[in-house]
Amino acid sequence: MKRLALPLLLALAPGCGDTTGSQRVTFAVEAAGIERDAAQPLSFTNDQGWSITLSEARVALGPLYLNTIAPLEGDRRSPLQRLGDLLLPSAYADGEAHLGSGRIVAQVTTQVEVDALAPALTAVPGGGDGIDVPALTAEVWLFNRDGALGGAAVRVAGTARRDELEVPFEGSLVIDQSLVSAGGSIDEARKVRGIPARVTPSEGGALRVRVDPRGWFDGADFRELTTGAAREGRYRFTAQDNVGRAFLNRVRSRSSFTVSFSPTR
Amino acid sequence: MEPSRSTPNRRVALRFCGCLGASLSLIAAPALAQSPPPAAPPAEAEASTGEAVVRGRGQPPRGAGDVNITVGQLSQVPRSSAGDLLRLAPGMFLANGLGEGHADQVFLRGFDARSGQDLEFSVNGVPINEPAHPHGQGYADTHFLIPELVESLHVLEGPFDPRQGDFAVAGSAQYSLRLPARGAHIQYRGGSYNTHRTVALWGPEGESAGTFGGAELATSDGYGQNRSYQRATANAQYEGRSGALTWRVLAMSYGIRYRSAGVIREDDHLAGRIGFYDTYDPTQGSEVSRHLVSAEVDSTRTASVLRAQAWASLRSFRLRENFTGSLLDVQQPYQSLHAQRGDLIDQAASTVDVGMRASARLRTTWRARTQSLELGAYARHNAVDSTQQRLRATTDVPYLTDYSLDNSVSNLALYLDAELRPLGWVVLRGGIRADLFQYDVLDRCAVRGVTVRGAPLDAECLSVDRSGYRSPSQRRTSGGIAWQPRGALFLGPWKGVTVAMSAGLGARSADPVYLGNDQQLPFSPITALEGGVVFDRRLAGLALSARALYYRTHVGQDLIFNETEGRNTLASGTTRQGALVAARATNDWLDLSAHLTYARATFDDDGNLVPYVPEWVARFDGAVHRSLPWRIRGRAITASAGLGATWVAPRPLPFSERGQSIFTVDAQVGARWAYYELGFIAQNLFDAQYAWGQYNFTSDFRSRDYPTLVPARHFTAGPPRQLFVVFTLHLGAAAARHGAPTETAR
Repeated sequence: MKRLALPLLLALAPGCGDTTGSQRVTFAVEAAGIERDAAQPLSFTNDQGWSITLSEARVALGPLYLNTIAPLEGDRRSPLQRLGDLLLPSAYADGEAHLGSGRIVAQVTTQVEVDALAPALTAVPGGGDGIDVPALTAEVWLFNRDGALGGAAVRVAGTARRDELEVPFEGSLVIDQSLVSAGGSIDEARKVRGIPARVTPSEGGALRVRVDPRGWFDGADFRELTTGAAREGRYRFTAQDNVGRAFLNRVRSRSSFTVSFSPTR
Repeated sequence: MEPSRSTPNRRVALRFCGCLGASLSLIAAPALAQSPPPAAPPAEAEASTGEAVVRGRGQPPRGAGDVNITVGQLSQVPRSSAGDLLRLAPGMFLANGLGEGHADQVFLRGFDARSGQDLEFSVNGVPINEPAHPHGQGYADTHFLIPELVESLHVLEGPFDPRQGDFAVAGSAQYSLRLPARGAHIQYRGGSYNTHRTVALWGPEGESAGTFGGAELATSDGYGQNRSYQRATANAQYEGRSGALTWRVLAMSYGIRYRSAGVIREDDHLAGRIGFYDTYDPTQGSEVSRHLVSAEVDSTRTASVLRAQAWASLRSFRLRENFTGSLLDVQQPYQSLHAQRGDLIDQAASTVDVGMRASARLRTTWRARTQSLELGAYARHNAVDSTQQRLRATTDVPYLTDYSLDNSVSNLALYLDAELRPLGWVVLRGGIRADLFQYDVLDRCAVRGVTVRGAPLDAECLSVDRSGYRSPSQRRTSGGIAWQPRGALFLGPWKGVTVAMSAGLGARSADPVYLGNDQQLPFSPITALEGGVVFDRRLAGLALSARALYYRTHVGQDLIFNETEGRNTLASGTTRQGALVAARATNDWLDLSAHLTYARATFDDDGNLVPYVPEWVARFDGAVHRSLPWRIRGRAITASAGLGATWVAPRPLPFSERGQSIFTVDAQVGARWAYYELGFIAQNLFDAQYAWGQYNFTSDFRSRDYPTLVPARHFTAGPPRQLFVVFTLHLGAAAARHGAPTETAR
C-alpha cells in the first residue's frame, strides 16, 4: 500500500507548476524631464542652427502603455546589442504601418503634468499595472489638460537665437481635429507609438519616463515667426507656420520620450 | 390537537411526505398511497455499487465514480433548477452568473465544462448537448426541465461505458423524469426580487409514474441590475405497458427571455464606480426556445432487453453578451474610419435535431451466473444555422459578422457492451464504441477581415480575394471514426466493500468553427483511468454508501474559455488527476450526503495549471422530515427541513492568480397538513457576497478616463440572499388520504 501511496501523493500534491503562466504586476511610475543640471537653463541647438533656450516645457503625460510590438529603426541599443542584431537580425517593417495593435502588457491610466525642464523624478499617482511579459515598445497617448497647460497637451515657451536674431516664442500642442490627416482618426493623432522600451514589468518595480524636448524644434526656422506680431513680447507659433508644423510633428515623435524600468523602486 | 404516534411503518409511509416548496417530495408524498411504480427490469436491479435505489434506465455501474442519485428526501434542499440537482454528484460544482436561462457552467473532475462541452447530458434518453452551437460546442441547457419531475439522476464520471456518447469527457449525466405522486399538485412560489413561479403537475390516477404532465410559468426582476426573466415550460410523458412491452411518448416545450448582467471589473467595483450586482451593458440577454418529442419502446424479457428510441427537436437561440466592453473594435485598414463601436456579441442559432438509439441486451447463464451482451446503435443529426455578429453599443445594430455557418453534423455510433461474471466476486463490464463524426459546414462568409486591393471598405463576406473573384461562401467537409474501448473491473463485494477499476477512451466532437476541410480526426480524443473503493451497506438502520477514488484524464485538444469570443476556444492538450471521497446515509427520516473532491488540471505543453478549474470542491446536503406529535381534525402534520452547503476553494486564474473561495448555505423548512403545504426557503442564507465566475482578462468598459488595456480581474456576481414562501395545494385521492389515521397507520 505504501508503494501506491507515495506516487499518488506526489501526483496530487501541488507541484512546481502551480501557476497558470506569467503574473499580474503593479509597479510605481515616475516621470520627469531629461537628466541635467537643473540650475542651468536647458539650451540646445536645432538642425537649423537655432540656439534654443526653453523657459517652459510642460507635457500632459498619460495614459501610457507598454506593448510587445517591435520598435522601429532608431532604437537606442547598446553597441553590443547592435552587434547581436547584426549577427541575428530582427525583421522590421518600414514605416509606422507595421505597428498593428500588438499586445499591451502594462499600462498607466492616469495623466500627470510633467515639467520637461525638471530632472527630478516625481511619482505618478496610482502607478501602473500589467503582466510580467517583456515589452519592446511604449506608447504615450496625449490628451489635453486644463490648469497650467491651459487645455493643451503640450505647452512650450523659450527663446531661439541665431546670429543676431533673438525670437522669443511660445506655443502648444492641442489634440483636436486639425491634427487628423485624411483617412486618419483623432485617436491615431494623439498616439506616440514605437518608443523603444525593452522592459519587463515586475511587481514592486518602477517605470521611469523622461520627456526630452530637445528634438521638438528640429526643422524649425524661427525667422518666419518674426513676420507676424508678437503678443506680450512673444511670438506664438501655429500649425500654419514652419515652427508650429515642426513642433506638432516632433513633439509626437518617439524620441521625445525615454522609458526604462527598474525592478526596485 | 392530539399527539400522533410514530411507528416505523408510519415513518416509512411518511418518508416522502415532508417536503415543501419547489421540491420533489411534496409530489412524492401521496405516491405511497398509489400503486407502486412499475418494477425495474431485472438488469436494473443488479447494481452492486452506488447508492442506487432505482438504477435509472438500466445502467449497471461502470466505476467507483458511477452514482445513481435518487433525489428522494434531498429534494428538501433548496434548488433553483434541474441543473442544481447535479450538485449531489461527487465533485460537481455549478455556476451561472450569466442569466437565469443560461446553461449552467459545470465544473467536474478538473474540467471547466463551461456550458456542457465536457459532460454528456441526456433526459429520458434524449441527448441535450448541442453540437455546433455558437455559444460553445456541446452547449447543454437543462432549464427546460421542470425540476419537480426529476426523479433520479445517473452521473457516471469518466468515459467508462460504451453507451456514453459525444461529450462524455468528464462524464455523463442522465436525468430520469417520473412523477410518483399521483394526482394534481399546484404550487406557487414568490419572494425576493418580485419572483413568482407557478407550477402545475398532474399524474393521472391509475397510470404509472412514467405518465405525467407538468407546466410552469415563472417571472422575476432578478437580483441587482438586468437579471429579469420570463419563462414558460411544459413537460409531459405517457407511459404504457402491455406484457413485456413498455412504450413512452415524451413531449417538452420551453421558452425563456432573460437579461444578463455580464461581468464586472473588480477594480471598478472596489473603487465604487459600479455596484457588485450592477451591469455595464443592459442590452445583454437572451431568448431561447426548445420543442422536443421522443418516442421509446422497451421489451424486457428474462433473456433479453430490447430498446428503441427516436426523437426530434427544434431549438432557437439568441444571446447577446459583452465580456470586454469596447476593446476589440480596432480600426482596420479595410474599414472606414470609426470610433470603438463596442464588443457586444450577438450569437444566434436555429437547430433541427433528429436522432435514434436502439439496443439489444441478451442474457445467458454460465457457471450459474448471469452473463450479458449488449449491441447498440446511436445516430444523431443536427442541422444548425449559426451566426455571430458584433453589435454597436446601445443601438444593437450589427456592424461586423464574425462568422455565418450552415452546419450539418452527424454522429453515428455502434457499440458492443458485455457483462461477464467469471467468479462470484469478479465482474467485468465493458466493450468498445465506434463513433463516426461527419461534418458538412457551409461558411457563408469565408473571406472577411482581410485587405484586398479594390475591395470596397467595410464589405463583409467578400466575393474577391487576392487572386481575383471568388464566391463569398466555402464548404468544408470532414469526417472520421473514433474507436473507444471502455471497461471496468469490480472485485467484491466483501462486507459491502467493492474495489472498482475503470479505463476508457472517449471523444468530443470538434467545433465546426475550427474545422479544417478534410480534417481527418474531427474530434478530441480522451483517455481516462479511475480506481477506487465503494462501500454500500445498511448499518444501524442507516443505508450507507461511501466511495473514495483516484482518477486521471487526458484530453488531446482542449477547449478553454476565451473572453473575446465569449466562449471556449481551442487550446493544447491537458491532463487532469485527482481524488474524491463521498458518502450518503439515509433512513426513513434522515438523508445526508457529502462529498469532497480534489482536482489538478495542467496543460501538457508547459505544465501550467488550467485556469478557472476549482481544485477543491465540497458539498453537503442534509434533510430531515418527521411527523409532528399533533393532529388537526385527525390529520397529522408533517414537518421537514433541508440544508445544503457548498464550498469551493480559490480557483486558479490566468496570470498565476487565485480567485476567491465560495461558501454558500441554502435552507428550507416547511410543513404539510392534508391538502396544504407551506414552506419557506432561504437561498444564500448568510447573504455571502461572492463571485460565481472569476476571470482575468483585458477589457475596457470606459469606466476610467483612459482605455484599460491590460488584464484585470472580472467577476460575475452570485445571487445574494433570496427568501421565498411556497404554497402547494395537493389534489386527488392520494392527497385526500394524506395524514389521515388510515394512511399513517399503514
